[in-house]
Amino acid sequence: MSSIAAIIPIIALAVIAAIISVFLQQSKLPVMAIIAALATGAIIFLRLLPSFSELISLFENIALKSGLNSYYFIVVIKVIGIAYIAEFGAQLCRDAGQGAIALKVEIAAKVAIMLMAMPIASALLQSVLRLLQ
Amino acid sequence: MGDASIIFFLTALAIAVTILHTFLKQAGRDEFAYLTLVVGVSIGLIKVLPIIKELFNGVESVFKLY
Repeated sequence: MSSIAAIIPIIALAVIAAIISVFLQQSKLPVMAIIAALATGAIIFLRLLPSFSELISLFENIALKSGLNSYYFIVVIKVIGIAYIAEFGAQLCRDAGQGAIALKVEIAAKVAIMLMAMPIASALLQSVLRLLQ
Repeated sequence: MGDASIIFFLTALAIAVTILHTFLKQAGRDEFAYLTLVVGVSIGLIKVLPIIKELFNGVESVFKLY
């Protein structure tokens, strides 16, 4: 409900930060452009977090009403969180010109997500086996 | 909540460091000129660090990552 009012400051912040980053790359301290991009990403996501938590609680209500096992829903939420935070770090590394480090961050996130999703996959396999018997 | 003033602080820091660097280089003090760059990057990182910590804590609590 408050997202429409919150989107305009975010757009303004992003555009100003982009202009400032281009300016900082010309200065004697081009590293500051990366630090500014890091700060901008963090500020924008911090502003989005309340809306995110509202959205997640709405989805949780729907999932509870549909009788879904809440464990599976929490795993989905965790996967989204890991994917976002890893993408944030990897994209910053890539912007800094370190594609190799970005790839490692992504691999770490994939391993974490896979580890988290494994119980669901094994539960699916077990239910398939139960159907076959 | 995020406060946008950190971006302007970083810009001002970069401008000050650039001016100091140019000034010291003109004066022939190359080692101090390099030191200003190091100090500038360190101050910027120290200022940004609490925001990153806040972001990670927020993501941890919102997405139920423990």
